Amino acid sequence: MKICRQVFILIVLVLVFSDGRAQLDNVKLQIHGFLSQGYVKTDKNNFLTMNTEKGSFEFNEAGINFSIQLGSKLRAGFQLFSKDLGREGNNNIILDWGYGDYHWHDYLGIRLGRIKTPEGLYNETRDIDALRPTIFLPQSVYDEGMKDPVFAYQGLGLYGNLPLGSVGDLDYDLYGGTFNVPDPDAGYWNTTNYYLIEGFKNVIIEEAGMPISPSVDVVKSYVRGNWIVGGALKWNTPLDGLRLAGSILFADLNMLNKVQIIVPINLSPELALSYVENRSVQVNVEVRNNYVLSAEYHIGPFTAAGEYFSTKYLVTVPGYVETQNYYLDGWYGWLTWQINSYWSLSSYYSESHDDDRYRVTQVEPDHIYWLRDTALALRCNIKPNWNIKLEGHYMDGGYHLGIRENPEGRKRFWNMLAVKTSFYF
Amino acid sequence: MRRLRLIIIITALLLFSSSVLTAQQKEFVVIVNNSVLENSINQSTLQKIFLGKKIQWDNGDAIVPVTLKEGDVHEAFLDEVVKKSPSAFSSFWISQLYTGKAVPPPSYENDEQVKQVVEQTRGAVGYISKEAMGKDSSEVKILEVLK
Repeated sequence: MKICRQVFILIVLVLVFSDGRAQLDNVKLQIHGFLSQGYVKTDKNNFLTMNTEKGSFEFNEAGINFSIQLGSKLRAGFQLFSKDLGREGNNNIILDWGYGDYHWHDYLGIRLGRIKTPEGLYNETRDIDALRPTIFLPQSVYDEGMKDPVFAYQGLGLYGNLPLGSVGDLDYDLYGGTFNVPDPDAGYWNTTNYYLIEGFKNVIIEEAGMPISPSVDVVKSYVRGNWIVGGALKWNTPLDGLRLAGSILFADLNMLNKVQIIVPINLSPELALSYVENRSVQVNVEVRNNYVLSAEYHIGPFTAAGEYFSTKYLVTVPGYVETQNYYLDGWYGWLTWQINSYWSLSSYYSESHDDDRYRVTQVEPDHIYWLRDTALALRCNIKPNWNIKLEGHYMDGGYHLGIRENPEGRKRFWNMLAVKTSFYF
Repeated sequence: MRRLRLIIIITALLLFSSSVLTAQQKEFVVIVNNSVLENSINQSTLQKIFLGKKIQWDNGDAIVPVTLKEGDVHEAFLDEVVKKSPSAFSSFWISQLYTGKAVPPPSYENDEQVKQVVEQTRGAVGYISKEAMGKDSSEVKILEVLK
């Protein structure tokens, strides 16, 4: 696997530095790719699954894609992708997308395979750093820790463009299938398991009927995406540069945790034994009404964008916890000034809310249930296919911060600095 | 003082002439292969063609858009028809390419190459400078763009 990773990175590097847009015209095969490397430093708290308080270089992405045109309407292609985001990714190679596309008519095309999920304005391109003016997308809508259910699906998608006469035109997507969670031991799932363990301890103490101090650990997690269905509309309005969009999805997944319980039995000060039990605990999660409302407006050198996100999770642990509802929402406003072909300056304000705060405020401070992020970013296009970005964030809140990455608690006010460079061909 | 006035006048003239020259350079014509039956097209329809959203002519033939790589004519076409800057147009196609949705139209260095490809490719549509079109237009057809 390690050799595969090295060969993959080497191929991407060779193609990038040879300016290697490989295009074999006679077979209409196109090969493209991208590579990015970043550094993140925070003054307090560790962001996502990186050790950012010390400063982290574990922040890269690389991808290589192959597309072939098989006639005027049929196309096929795939992209291999590798990333490192602290404990997530670790530069394992995954199939990012891979599908056949039959574009039958302007108003109807069919895709079959593994396809990027159309959610919001930027979900489909969120892993391609070169396409945006900032390093991090606003976490209120594009939460890195929870992107797995909305990253890509395996299934069938319908898409097309519908003319609306004098009021513009409409792009639509409808899709259904299943999805993967490639890294269930990291990110959001890891934090979810932390809370699961806390709840589980109480159940075991109740079962024992006596005061004990069990040690509970999730040894391994498996997440299976059972199904996902959704749709997206993008209205290209008659006002040049203005597009309005809305997307919605529903999904269902099961998380299976292999849990090890260790109960100490102290018979005497000299003789300490422990009782060890392994259990499998299933967690059912239903994602309901996960929707994003979006607006984007280009005027001259300026681009303004704003999105609102909301979702509801129904979580059940059969035999242990009855169905509980979780509500998350967030919004952001974003402005970019393309100063010239080399420089751009961007700023956004993003606000995320986890409505858990109404249920467990007695356990943890309120500020871990929100994040107010004010960001300023400068991008320089050194060459048409090579850019570098510098970005600062002033943060208020601890939402989007992993509980295991921040064992000493999540501080309310903190700052983050990030720098990243990207190549593509 | 006289010398300063002279410099100002010459600078103004140079600026004026360069703007006129630029305006002349930016004039383009949209050309199609002779197989295309349409004689005119709406700006919004042409925009969709160059964004990969419209793929067929009315007779069912596949549309094959071709573009210039760069230059004043390219910029003028993108500005007036596609309503995007060159960098925004490029970003749009990179996003399509890197999500597997579509492959960008082939791009060429100069008017002659675009004209040649449009002439030789059934269903092709492209744009070139007005001067490059010349008087003999029998090899390709000019498509009138309706606002």
